[in-house]
Amino acid sequence: MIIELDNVTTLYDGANVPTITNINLKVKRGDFIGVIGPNAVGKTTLLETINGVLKASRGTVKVFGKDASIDGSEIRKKVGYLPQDVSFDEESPFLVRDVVLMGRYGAMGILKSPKQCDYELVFNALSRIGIMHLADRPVGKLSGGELQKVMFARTVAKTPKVMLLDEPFNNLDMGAREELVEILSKIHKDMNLTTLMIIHEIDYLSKINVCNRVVLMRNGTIAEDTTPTKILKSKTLVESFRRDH
Amino acid sequence: MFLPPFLLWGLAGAVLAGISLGLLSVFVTQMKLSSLSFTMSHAAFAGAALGMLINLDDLVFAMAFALIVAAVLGPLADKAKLHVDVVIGALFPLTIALAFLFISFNADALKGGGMLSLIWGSILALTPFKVVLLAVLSIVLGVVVFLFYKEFSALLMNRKLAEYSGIKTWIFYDSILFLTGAAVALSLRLLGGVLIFVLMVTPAAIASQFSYDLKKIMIVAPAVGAIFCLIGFYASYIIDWPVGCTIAIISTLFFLISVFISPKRRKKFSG
Repeated sequence: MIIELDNVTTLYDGANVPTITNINLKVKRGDFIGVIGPNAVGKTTLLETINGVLKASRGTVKVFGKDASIDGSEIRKKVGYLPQDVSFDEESPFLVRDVVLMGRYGAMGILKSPKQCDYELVFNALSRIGIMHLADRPVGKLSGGELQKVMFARTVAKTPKVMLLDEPFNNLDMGAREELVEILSKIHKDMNLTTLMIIHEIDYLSKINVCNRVVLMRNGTIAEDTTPTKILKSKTLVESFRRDH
Repeated sequence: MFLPPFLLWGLAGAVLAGISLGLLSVFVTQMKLSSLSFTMSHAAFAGAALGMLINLDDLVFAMAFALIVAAVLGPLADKAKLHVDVVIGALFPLTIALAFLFISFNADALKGGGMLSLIWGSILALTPFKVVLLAVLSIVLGVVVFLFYKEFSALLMNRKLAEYSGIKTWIFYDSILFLTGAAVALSLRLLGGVLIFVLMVTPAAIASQFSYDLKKIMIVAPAVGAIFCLIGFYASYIIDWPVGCTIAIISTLFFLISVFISPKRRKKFSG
């Protein structure tokens, strides 16, 4: 197993109620899991507990066999995490290619400068996502959709073993979403990745044919762990999701 | 224009302080910690005032106070889950209260102008030993930033994203706070608290008017800091104004000019 969560509960400092409770999840290499659920059910908390940014209050999280509460930064070197709602000041002194390259910094290790191969990976990622023309643009001057693509290129350029994507289709129009799904599916296969992707809209699940598993979250727990086909066939589940939404 | 030998040490000290504070100004402005310089200056001020009160080396006490504040800031902000700027705001009253408390116990120093030099600086206070310390600090700072440029630049771009990429950001964040404390304490007697505040913001503010490239800003800001100190030092010698005031006025004037001539404010149409 690449990722193993055993009875995991995560409670934020000062909170009385855990955001996620007693989560058991096993993810094997090559899985492409869609994590769906209404707002505030703990989807982002789940991803951040997996990459060790948040420490599980109870239970154990193992990624690549390492304990995420102890080796969080080591795990994050191999995990490409695309957070939602990243923003930059308009005057931020960073070009798009710097932002994408910086995704690789942790994995490069301390006291090591970027080499030719790192720059090549950056330009490959930019070209794959179709945003090569943005390489020398200041990152603070991008539109929401452009920035989302840049952050995705940053995740890809890292050449991770695991991708955690928090609503990657945010700020993208329908055309761009379809394009990104195609790229995402290809990258997942080509790079032999294991991917967990938060999707906000259940209807979108039928449009994207990339997930082999779907985890439906409700009230901080995993309500269903099944296949996309089963979840979409179950009228009760779809209706209850729409109601919660 | 030749300077008397004793003033050359002052000039060397001012240029070195301009370099180190100019480089730190990039961190202070990008991390949105402009109040850091103010609090550090007052911590060093309180330390120096205590040193003067008990007739011991004010530099040692200024350094100790500034470093204590620097060492406390990062962990305290992490513990309190607050932005460092908020913690700085909470600590600032303590530093200024201690400074005034020690001054109130030492009326003689106030009359003699010793305390005033902590606000506006005094070139006469600079000994060759202190210049050497400033040179060591500038070199250490330059080497640390050069060696860990990758980590520092990721930190300055977005601390959370740097954390996600696997960098242990607290080490670099706290080391910048620590080096800032050392730079402020070493520069206090020469430049004074007011000028430290100017030099820890203005050089980066000027450099960033001309580039979107952090590397260029990090090269230009210390150069700008050094040039202001050089020009200000000579100008103060010629017109007989206090060094700190002269450099502060020149820096602010150049900042205003830079805003108006910045290529970033121009609209360019191609084709």
